[in-house]
Amino acid sequence: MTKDNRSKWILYSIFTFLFLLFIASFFLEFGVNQSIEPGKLIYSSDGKVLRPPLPSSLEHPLGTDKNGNDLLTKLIIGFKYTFIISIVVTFIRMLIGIFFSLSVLYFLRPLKAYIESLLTPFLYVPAFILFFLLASEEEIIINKYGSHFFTFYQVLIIVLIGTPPLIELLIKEFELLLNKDYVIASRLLGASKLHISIRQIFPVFKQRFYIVFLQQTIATIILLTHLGVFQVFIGGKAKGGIIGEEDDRFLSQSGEWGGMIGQSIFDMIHFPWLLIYPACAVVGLILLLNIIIKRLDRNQR
Amino acid sequence: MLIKRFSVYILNLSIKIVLLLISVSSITSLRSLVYLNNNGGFSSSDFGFFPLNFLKTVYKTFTHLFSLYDSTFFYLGQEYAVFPYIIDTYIYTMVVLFSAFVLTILVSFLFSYAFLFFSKRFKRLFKSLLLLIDSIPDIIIILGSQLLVIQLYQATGFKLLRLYGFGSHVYLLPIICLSFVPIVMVIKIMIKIFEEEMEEQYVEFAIAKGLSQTTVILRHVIRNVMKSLYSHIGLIYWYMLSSLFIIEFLFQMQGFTPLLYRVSDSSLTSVAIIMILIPFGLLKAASFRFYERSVLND
Repeated sequence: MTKDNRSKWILYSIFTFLFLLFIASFFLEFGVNQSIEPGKLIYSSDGKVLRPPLPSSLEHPLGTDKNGNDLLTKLIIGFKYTFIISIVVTFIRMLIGIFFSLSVLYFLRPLKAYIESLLTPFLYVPAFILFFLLASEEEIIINKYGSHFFTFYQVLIIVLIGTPPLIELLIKEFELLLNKDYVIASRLLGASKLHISIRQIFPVFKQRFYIVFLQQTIATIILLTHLGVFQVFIGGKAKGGIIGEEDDRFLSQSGEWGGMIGQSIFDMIHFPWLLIYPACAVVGLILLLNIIIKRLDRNQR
Repeated sequence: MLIKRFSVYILNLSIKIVLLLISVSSITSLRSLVYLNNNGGFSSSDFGFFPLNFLKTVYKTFTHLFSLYDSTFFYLGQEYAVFPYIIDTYIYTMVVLFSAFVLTILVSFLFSYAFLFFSKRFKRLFKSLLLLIDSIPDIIIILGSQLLVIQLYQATGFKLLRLYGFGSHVYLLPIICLSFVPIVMVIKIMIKIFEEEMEEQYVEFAIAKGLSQTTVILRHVIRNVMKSLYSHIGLIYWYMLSSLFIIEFLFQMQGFTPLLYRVSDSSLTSVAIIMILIPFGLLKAASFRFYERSVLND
């Protein structure tokens, strides 16, 4: 009993933490009036000019980024983009995945082996290669349809490239369920396919659903960091440096965490905190999600 | 009868191979589904949805697959002949990949073997440590190890390992980075299988008979663990593959993987994808054979 309570308590505190962070993220970007330009040049006590990025200090606990913004504020603001993108992507993926895997199992059973060999390369080619093929040339898209459409397009591509592996996974899961005795009995008694899915498959699958959902969310977050390393930022690129002095380096426009890691890999040697803190943030987020998965998995058994 | 069965088998296999080739060609031609390339240059001229253009490119890629061996390609502004380049880099990449694979299996086996002898409290500690390490994405491990080597070099002037490729081949650090995350993954899987296996009746019986625990594990349990592990090999290989791309990029190695995303020749990319899938196919076939034989022996 007490163990059960502790498990629940941990789950609720994680949810509350994520929710508060989410609210804070919106509040910091849209609630606080940010008319004050961040200080660009700071003079130290002996008259030297300090240029951003600055290492951590009392005023800026995590230091500042290249444009002189507080890194902690930046991280909290970026959280909502990472979170929303990964949750939305995962949700759409799950919907498509469930729909397709069930229709393959119900209607295309004889073709299943061929469909699987058609899907195989999609499973083993890393996802960001597909992303490169489909959305690498940004200027053309932005020029033609604008940057909002571009962001939408990037998210759409992320959804699509992750679906084939998910379909494969779900086909396996559903096949196990469909071969259970009670489902076969129900089919023999004349239950329709819709009835079987709603009454027999989904109630059993519900627990697994949350776990698969969270695992997919983690995979999406990792994909975002992979894309960031190759300098692909969701939401487009922004000019880097204080006065745009570095023409060939770009920053992530949205400041989502994967992009923040990616944009600072070239500054690793000179300004390591630009890389370390976003990296810690990503690890922390994934750790929280992993803890939730573990608790759910334990409850299930 | 036999001939008929054999011909059906061959027909089935060739349908599958052709489907695979078409699938790979269509993956590498995906660019032409959304980008229109009129001027024949590197950059595209229009963005939209072009299914006809896509089908044409798939056909072109597919037919060009068979005349690839004497052509050349451009990579980072330089022209290379396809043949020596593709083989050289392939061997280098595969050496790195397979050393990492072997390292993963060995190290994770040692750890999970030692795990069996831990005390109960230490087991729980070890498991939560695994959960923590499991949450670190591969990129952060790679960047972190690079940062560590650089800081060490700056602090002591001691050059521990070679960091960047730049033409010559680096091995040690990429192999370690490549196997780090899979090691954690495999340890987790192995511990689970070991724990399930140790509760089987034959283990109890063997111990009751007076065999020592070491003998039981080395003689009897390992076989069954290996058999269960074979079904996870695909996942491990896939995971290593996707880290490999990032490692070759971040360590600036002269490897094989840039051929998959930095080259505009879609036929070459298709061949590269097939080549990188071949070891995986062999592994899968080998594990299937192994599985079949062990089932037959039983």
